[in-house]
Amino acid sequence: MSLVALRKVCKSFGKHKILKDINLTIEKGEVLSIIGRSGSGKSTLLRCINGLEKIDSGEIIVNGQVVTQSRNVLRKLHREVGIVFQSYNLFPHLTIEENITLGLTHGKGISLVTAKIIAHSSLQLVHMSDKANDYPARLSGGQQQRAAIARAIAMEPVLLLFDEITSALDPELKSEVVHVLEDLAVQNRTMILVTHEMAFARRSGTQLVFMHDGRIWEKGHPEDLFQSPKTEELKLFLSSVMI
Amino acid sequence: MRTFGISEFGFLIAGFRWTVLLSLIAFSGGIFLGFLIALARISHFKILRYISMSYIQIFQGTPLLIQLFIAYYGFSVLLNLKIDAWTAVSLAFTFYAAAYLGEIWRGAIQSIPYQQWETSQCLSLSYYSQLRFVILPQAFRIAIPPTVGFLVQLIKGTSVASIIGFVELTRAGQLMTNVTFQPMTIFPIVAILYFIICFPLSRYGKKLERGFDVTRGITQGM
Repeated sequence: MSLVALRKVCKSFGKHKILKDINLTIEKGEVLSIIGRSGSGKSTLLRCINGLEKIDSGEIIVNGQVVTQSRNVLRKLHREVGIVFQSYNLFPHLTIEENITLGLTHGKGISLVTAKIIAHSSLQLVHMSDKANDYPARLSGGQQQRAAIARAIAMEPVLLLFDEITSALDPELKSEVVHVLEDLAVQNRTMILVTHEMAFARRSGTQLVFMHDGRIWEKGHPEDLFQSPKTEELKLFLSSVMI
Repeated sequence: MRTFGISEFGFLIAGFRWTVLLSLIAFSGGIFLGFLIALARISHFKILRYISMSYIQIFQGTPLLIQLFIAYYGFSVLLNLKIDAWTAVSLAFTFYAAAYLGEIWRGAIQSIPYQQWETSQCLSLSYYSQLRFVILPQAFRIAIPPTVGFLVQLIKGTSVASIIGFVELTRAGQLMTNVTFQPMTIFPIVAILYFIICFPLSRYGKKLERGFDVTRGITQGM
């Protein structure tokens, strides 16, 4: 069974249809990149997968569980699905270590001692062991985003979601975050990324989805889509981002 | 006619004690009740939001003096229950403080970006844990200046209680003026007595605010 399955998912905000009849499956170990223009519904799709947005119709199944808006379902889902946001969203009043241990102790019920050990190994994965006791405001954007990634992977989720996590960063800071993403992809983690990092999507992705006007316009192996896009829309989009 | 001396000053100090005590009661009662009101104001349940909002609007939309009168006379007229001035002013000030503190804290809680709620939810935190560990610690810092500001206002506002015959500092000053005819000796002393509790409180509020500033003025990427 697929780790994630979306069937006929529709979602609108008011009269505006954001997602139109989305069908998509993701297998364990896949790295799926979602590309498309802003407003094409990419981020909304990602947010629906972990229940942050309520879908109007259709069905989303994650790890065998139907995603609903019930608090209990969502709490269980959020132990299994991690998300990293474009704006990092670290807790500014907590140190980096506390940012990571909070979800472990109060979300997963792990003891603080164990949580700290896990926090340190996650920080190692993002090359930030020396920043454990710093407050977020003292870190650069790239460091904050890597800390946010460490916070998400510390929960040991079966699925990781990344919502345009490099979009707020300067080019040089982008690359340090992309390096971390590449490390994660190599570790066989299941990941879904909404991204503008075309090089990453092409190199490390196993599946690529191009969204346009609320629909999955094209999907397939990244290399095939980049080499020979079938639709005019994808050709146009690629030529506009691959300058 | 008496002149202002040690025993007159002692009378002012006795009134001063009641002012401090009344302020403490209104603080602690107001903080407790106000916290519940703030939580009700941000509740998912419409009915709680509605009730708490009505409560706030009633207490903010009517003069404190009238609230005092209603508390004082209301019990005896409506419930045929004789309560003393002390109980009446304690109740009235507690409910009054709760309305304002509730609204101040509601604002502080809602000024925390919704992403903080969303992110903590995505770490599988319960609503209680979200509030306790993520939202309230941040809202607390924001709420300190307006809270301290209101508490200082409240201490000075307790002088209104003199109207229903409660002998706190202001009332004590009036009584002593009546027997000594030395208003310009007594009221400056009364003013100084208010000042020596209000001023340190304001200063302490500033200190507290700085103590909680872990971001050290650097803006955090949202």
